[in-house]
Amino acid sequence: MNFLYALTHKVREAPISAGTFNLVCITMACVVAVHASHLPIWLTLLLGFALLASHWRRRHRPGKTPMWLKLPLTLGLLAGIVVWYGNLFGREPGSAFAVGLLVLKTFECETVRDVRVAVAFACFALMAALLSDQGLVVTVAVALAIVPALMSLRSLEPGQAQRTITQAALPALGLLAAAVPLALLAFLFVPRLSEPLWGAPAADTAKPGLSSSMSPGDLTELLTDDSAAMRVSFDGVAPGPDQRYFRAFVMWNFDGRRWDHGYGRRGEVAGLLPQGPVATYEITLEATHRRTLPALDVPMAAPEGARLSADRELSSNDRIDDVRRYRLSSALGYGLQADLDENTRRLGLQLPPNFDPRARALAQQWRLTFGQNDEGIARAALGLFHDGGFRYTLAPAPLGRDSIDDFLFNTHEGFCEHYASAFTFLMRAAGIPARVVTGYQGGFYNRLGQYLLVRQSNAHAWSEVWLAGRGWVRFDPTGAVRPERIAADGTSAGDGSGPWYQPAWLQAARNRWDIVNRLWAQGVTGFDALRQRSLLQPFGVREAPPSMLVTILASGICLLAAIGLGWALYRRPEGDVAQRALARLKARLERRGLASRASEAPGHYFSRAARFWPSQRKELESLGTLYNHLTYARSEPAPELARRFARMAREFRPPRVVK
Amino acid sequence: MTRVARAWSAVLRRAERRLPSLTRLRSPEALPIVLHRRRIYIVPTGFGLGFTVLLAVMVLGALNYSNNSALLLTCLVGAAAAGSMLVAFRTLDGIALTAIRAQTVVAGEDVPLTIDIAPGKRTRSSLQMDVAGRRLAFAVVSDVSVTLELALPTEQRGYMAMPRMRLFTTWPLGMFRAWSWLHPEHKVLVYPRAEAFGPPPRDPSLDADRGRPHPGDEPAALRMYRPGDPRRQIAWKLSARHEFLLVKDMEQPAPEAEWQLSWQSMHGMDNESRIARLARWVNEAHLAGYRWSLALPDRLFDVAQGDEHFHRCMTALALQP
Amino acid sequence: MSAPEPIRDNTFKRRLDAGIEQVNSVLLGKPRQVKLAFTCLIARGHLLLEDVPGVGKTTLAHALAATFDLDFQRIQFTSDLLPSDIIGVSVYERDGGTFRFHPGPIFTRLLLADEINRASPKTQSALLEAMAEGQATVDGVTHALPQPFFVVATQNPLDLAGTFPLPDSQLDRFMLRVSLDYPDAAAERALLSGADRRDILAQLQPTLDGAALDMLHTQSLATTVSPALLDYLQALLAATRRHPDIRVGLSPRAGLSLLAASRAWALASGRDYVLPEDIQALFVPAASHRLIPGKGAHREAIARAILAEVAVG
Repeated sequence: MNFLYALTHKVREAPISAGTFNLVCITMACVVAVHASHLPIWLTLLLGFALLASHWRRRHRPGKTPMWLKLPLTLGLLAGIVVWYGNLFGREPGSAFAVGLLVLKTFECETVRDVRVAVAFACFALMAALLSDQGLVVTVAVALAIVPALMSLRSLEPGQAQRTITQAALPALGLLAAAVPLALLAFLFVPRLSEPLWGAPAADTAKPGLSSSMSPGDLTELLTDDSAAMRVSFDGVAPGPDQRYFRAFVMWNFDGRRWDHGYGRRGEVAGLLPQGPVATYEITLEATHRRTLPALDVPMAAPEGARLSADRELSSNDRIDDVRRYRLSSALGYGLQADLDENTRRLGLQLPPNFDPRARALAQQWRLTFGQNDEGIARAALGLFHDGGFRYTLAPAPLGRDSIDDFLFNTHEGFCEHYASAFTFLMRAAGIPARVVTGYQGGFYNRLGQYLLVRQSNAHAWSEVWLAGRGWVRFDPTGAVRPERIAADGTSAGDGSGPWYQPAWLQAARNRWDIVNRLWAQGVTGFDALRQRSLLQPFGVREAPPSMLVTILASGICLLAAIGLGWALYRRPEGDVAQRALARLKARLERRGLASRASEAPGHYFSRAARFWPSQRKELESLGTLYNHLTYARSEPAPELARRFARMAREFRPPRVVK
Repeated sequence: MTRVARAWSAVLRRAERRLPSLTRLRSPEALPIVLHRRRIYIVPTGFGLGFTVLLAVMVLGALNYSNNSALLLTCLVGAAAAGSMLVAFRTLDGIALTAIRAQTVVAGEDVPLTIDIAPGKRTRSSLQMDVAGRRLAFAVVSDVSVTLELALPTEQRGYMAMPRMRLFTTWPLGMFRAWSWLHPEHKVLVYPRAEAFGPPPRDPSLDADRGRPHPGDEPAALRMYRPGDPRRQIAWKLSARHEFLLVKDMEQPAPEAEWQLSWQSMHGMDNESRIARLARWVNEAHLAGYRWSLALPDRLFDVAQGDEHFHRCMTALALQP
Repeated sequence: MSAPEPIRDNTFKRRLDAGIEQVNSVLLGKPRQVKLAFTCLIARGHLLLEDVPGVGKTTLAHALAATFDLDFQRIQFTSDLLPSDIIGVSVYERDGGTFRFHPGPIFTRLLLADEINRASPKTQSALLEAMAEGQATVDGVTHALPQPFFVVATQNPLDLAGTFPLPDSQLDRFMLRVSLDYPDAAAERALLSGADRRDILAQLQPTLDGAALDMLHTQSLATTVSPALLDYLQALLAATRRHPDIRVGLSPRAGLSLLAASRAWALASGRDYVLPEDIQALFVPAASHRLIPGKGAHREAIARAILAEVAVG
């Protein structure tokens, strides 16, 4: 009945050890830490405190936590989250609640089962942290947080010798390291969904980025944001700093305060006549949750999955919720829309009535002065900004109703959007078609990584003016005020008080770090269905269908499983050549009916075998003699004899005994 | 035991009878038993299954939100979990049960057993063994055998076969259970239990004239003097007639008692009662330092005393059919 | 001692075989025990014959003495035997006015100690000390025993009345403990139908002298002991220390003694190297009496169990 007993008998679970509990607490602390960036600060602090309290409790008041303690804690957590988020459902409150419950779970971690449940859900919560940020740092942090989780599971196994924390951590790390090949294989070949199965996540917080409208002060937040907007790698030499204008939005409509892009003008794409060099490059764009794809002035054609608007803005067919990579060619010198149709001209001259009379007057005056010389008027405007006592600052004084007048004649301070806005207004008022273009300008060329890093702080606004015979010409009035803003190579927008806290080495380190980020973005987070399909291009497969991916995945898993099995089945050979040969012979003869015992001396074994198969007596006896000779008759090993024995043993064929 | 458990055990019993290869009710085998791949079984534990479901949910979520970081790390955890299966296998593979040693006990007592587990050239971090309703947990360092101690209940005299044992591990993550059945061919000798009380054997004095000549202080024979013979034993008068000294060879002094124990001396009792009574008599004689002889239906142990004699007699009684 | 001669010189081996043959002709049906006895003498160890009376212990001892051409003394151990009875006494001599030492029967090369467990512990320890040290001390004067010095002791393990069983620690002095057992049916028939043993004993010719014994001893020391064999021996020793029924396992000295006996056994088997078979043949006689078992355990059974358990490397 022992058999049945063993199966039906539930072994009473012993309480978990202090070491295990510590590891569980560490795991939970890791969960809280990786979620800290999006949890409200009070919750993070409270959970940290709860974790400490739980640890203290188990140490000093062991035993079950009473219900009167657990219930209020849980209800309190629930109430706090509902009050803070106004809701329990949705990604943010949901993950906050899950993390809170996990921490509270430590109050009732008493059995093996409790720990396993807690650790499994901790893994889940760790992955959930990546939903809000899948950058390299967070990913590595989560990967490291898996280690204490695995250590907790390992520490549950009974019968182990005591280990220090390092002794326990190394095998867990080793297990993870050994899992890397399979993980990479699965990562590369698990077919990505081209369409989400259920509702795509709504961006909870609008990420700062270029928007399709512009009013004074809008960009301030952006210009101080040093996070990467995109990375550009050029085929060949990168264009000079004064040519690094990436257009995103072209804005026509002005209501006196706000420039608006509308939804992009459809219709015939403005004609482009390249003049001079063409840059071919690839952009890796961070997620913007918009459709617009910035492109170096001026893109020649739309990449796959995107289209050109009438004003040669690029917009993707779907929203960019992940890192997006696209290849483009742009004409660095160009003639854009040499012929302006009437509709467009009217749009390019449109101004809100009854705004900014002084600016209009100034423009009229310039028109009188310069006559038909449109370019002269534009130069006069630039000259005004250059010599008129204008100052570049990211914290300008607020502007009144007539914002252009206020800026031109009173405050004299502002940044790119003020200048671009005022310049465009002046041009239109002088009867020259003009428009505002926003996008990015400049960027840091990372020589190590051979790419141009464009940060959010490189956001910029400039003007385009239509000049007869030349088409749309780019004018950057900000450059008139602050030329280094345009020419600068690496420094960001910031006002004059810049770089004392950003010494050169820090910059260099940041730039190196950015390469890593870029690789991460390109290789991991940007690895989407599209890139997965082109994964096999080096092998001549233009587009790998999911079925092929699955086939490769399956065969790869089989291959890795075979390697793993080989490792698992491998036993270090015991003994020397002769001993192994003897062991093999014994195993073979055992299948033919001659049992063997480990405690039997080889000589006895061979005599017994000789009695078992009298017809082979001679061979068996000489095998025995040889074995004894080489193993026992000499103090030094005898490789020659051992090989001879191994050969003879291999060649020995016991007769088939019919019994 | 609930009804479900009873039904389940009936199914298992049937399966053991019908499908021994499946339930792995291996017939007893000689030591050492070395575990190898054909006899190690692995299945996921309940926790392993639950964790797999959780991983599947995580993969699906990561794919749905096209969150590649989460996908990568989920794959990593999944691969580690899958790899733990191989680790579990390796924890058992090559391990050997090399020896079982049992002390000799009387039926009804627990017999202390030691089981030697040899790890080979590999350290095994966590092993468990189910034997006779008990579970032992232990670890083995490479090349160092570990000795497990346990006690098995005994019920009857004679050879007791070893119960089937299950050696298993859930190392390292508790997601897979690898196990192997061990059924060593090892018999433990259990002495018969002596009856609690009963009559003494027949008074030895009544048997004084039976058996071999009773030793006494009378000279039994004359022999040549050997150095070391006490002077008072020298037969001076007789020696005078020879060229050498003669010594009166004294028989050993009579022991206090000598019991002739016989199977036939008891009438109207069944075999087990006879064995129990003889066992009691042998015990008493041994403890009291008497000499005794034991006559069984098939063999006779001549008059003797001491541990050796005791063990021989008890073994014969234990194995009496 | 001369330099070891090459083992290929078979002279001594042939004489040894002849000696063994001769003893076998006296003690019928006990070739293993006879060979063990020779082994013990070649390895310079003392022999303990243990069995019930009448199975030939004395015959074996006599046959050995006759074959080995060694001085031979026999002491009957009894309860009133005194240490001086075996070692000797110093007697005051009126003529010289000095004490003169009268050596006891122990001053011989081959000593048969009959029923050693009948003597008092004091007397036993006098003999055992002499066996261990190769010398005897009387009145503070140490007298060296002749070399080689062999003791063949007998005792009856089953009869404990009025005896003083050798303490476990003292059993260590004996290299081998051999049980003779009853002869098998064929040997017993031959025994019953043959001539009187005593007559045969009288006709034995000495085939081996002290020098030959020395040479055999030297040759036994020259036998090859391979690393694999040492591993096996070591595993056996370790197993005795692990066994739950053994209170005290084998000491390194016991291991050395087992190895020496195995070498001699290998030589007697006509080999110049030691095989695991040799160790297995010698393990029970050489080791079982050195194991100190726990309560109620049977030494020889344990020793055999250990042999069955330890794998041959």
